[in-house]
Amino acid sequence: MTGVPAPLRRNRAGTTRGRLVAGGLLTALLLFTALAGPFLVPSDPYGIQLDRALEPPSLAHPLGRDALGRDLLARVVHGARYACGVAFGGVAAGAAFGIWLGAWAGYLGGRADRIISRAVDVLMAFPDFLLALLAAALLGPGLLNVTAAVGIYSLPDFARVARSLSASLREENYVMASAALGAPSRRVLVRHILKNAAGPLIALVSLRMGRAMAAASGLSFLGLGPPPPAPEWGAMLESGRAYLWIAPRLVLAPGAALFLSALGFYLLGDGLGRSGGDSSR
Amino acid sequence: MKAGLARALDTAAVIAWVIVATFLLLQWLPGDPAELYAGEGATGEEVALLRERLGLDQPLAVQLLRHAGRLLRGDLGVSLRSGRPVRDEIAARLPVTLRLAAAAAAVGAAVALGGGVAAGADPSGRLARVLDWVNLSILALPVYWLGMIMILVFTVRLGWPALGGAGRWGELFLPALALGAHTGAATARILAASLSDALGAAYLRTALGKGASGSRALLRHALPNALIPAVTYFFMEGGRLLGGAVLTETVFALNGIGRYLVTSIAFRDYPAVVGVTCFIAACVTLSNAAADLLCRCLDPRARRGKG
Repeated sequence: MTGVPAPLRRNRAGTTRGRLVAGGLLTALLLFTALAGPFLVPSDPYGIQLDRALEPPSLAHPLGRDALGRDLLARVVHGARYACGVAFGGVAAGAAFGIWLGAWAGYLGGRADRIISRAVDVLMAFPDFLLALLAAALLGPGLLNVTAAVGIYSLPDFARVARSLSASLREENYVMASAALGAPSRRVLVRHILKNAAGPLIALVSLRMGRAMAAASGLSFLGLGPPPPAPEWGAMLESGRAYLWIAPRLVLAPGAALFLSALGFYLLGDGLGRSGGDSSR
Repeated sequence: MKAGLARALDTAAVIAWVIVATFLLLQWLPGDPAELYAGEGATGEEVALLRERLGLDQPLAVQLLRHAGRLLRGDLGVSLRSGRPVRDEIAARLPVTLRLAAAAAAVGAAVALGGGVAAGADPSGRLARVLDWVNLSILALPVYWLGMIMILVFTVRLGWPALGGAGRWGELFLPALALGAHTGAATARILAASLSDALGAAYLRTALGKGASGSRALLRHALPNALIPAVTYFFMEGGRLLGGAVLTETVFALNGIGRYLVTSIAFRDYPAVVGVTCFIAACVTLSNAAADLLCRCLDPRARRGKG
């Protein structure tokens, strides 16, 4: 950003703060809902009452009841646990493997780099959601398998970014000095390269959290998620779809939850990326 | 030229590994292919006969070579569900998906160009900030939820005719809007960023100093340079469109290859799954290579530097 005049830069800092605050608030709201929400909403998200199916919103049940008479608010609130669990677990796994592989590839270069990069290229030939879909199809439905599928879905991006960060940090004097002083490669990688690449990688984690939530609920939407009674947002969207004409809230509520959660992570990731330089996009 | 050759070799290598990966996928998927082909109620003898006829009793390496040979000849196997060649099943559904992708790409390009130029022309302005928040919001909208909201607004509330099915151009308006908005928003952000970088560049000051008007400097000098990363990204997104088509086609009940893939997974029609996957992966790899090539054509520096 060398050619940017000073007033412009200040302005960018202003929008960055706005993003961080808005993203942080939305993410905090999501985490709070996932942790404390089920205790605050007393209704049972699994209690089927067929005689009260599709009951419109009331004071006791602010979002009304779904097609099986279950409290919609309770289901959306419990769904936050599924969404957070799958996204955190999947992104953590994808980031751990992806960053480790990518950082080694970038640091070592040569043959290791060629092998790892080629493997990542092959994964990237299955575009975006298709990779998650195939992984889920291969592993079968279920909560743990969806989390693993989201991990595989997240891995290539982390590997790619970690590789390019590591390859450029490798040329830094302090890294070469550390290696020249006889530090083992593993130590150089962790102490110097990963520590200095942390900023952009953390921003990427936040962006990928949003993507992971969308992908996980997309899988549930297609019937590859946790089995039916689970209040997963994507599954709720799928079952609510049939009632779009008479009770659109069945689709609007879980979708809005999903949208706001993903938006929070995107804003946070975008803000973090901007405040820590512009190396991630 | 040398770089182009290297890129072509790279592309070929990736496609070769994709073939190996899908072959392994077929091996790892649960169930014995011979039993699946024979269908329920087949005797052990029939299954053994079929296994021999399909070459499934051969060593794995021989099977892999045969699998690759078939794929390279365009033979994607036979669908377990319909008994027809997977290639024919794809060919029957491909026009819908291609039309959807083309329409979505058109929507995406319009959104990207409009939003990107509007935001990039005055990066510190109010419009740019609002547009950036709008773009981020669009990116956070799950494509299938956006689709359902569109159905809710246009079909349920405004009474437009129900959508989906054959996938004629008119029916593709809403799906393309839902699918293309994503691509457009993502590309618009990249275009805005590179345009605002270009506005600070020395050659732009030169153009203004020589007396070019502001809009001429923007459109003739800054935009062509700023477009390079945006166009490259847009082509990379071509693959994402095929991936996103899976969900869009499901929501709008369009009978394209994305929906075919989903139903094939549900029916455990593995040859169809692998066939469609191979097809999409090949398309994506080729479109990425095309993006690279295009970038080289657009950017003289990349041509001279690497060639």
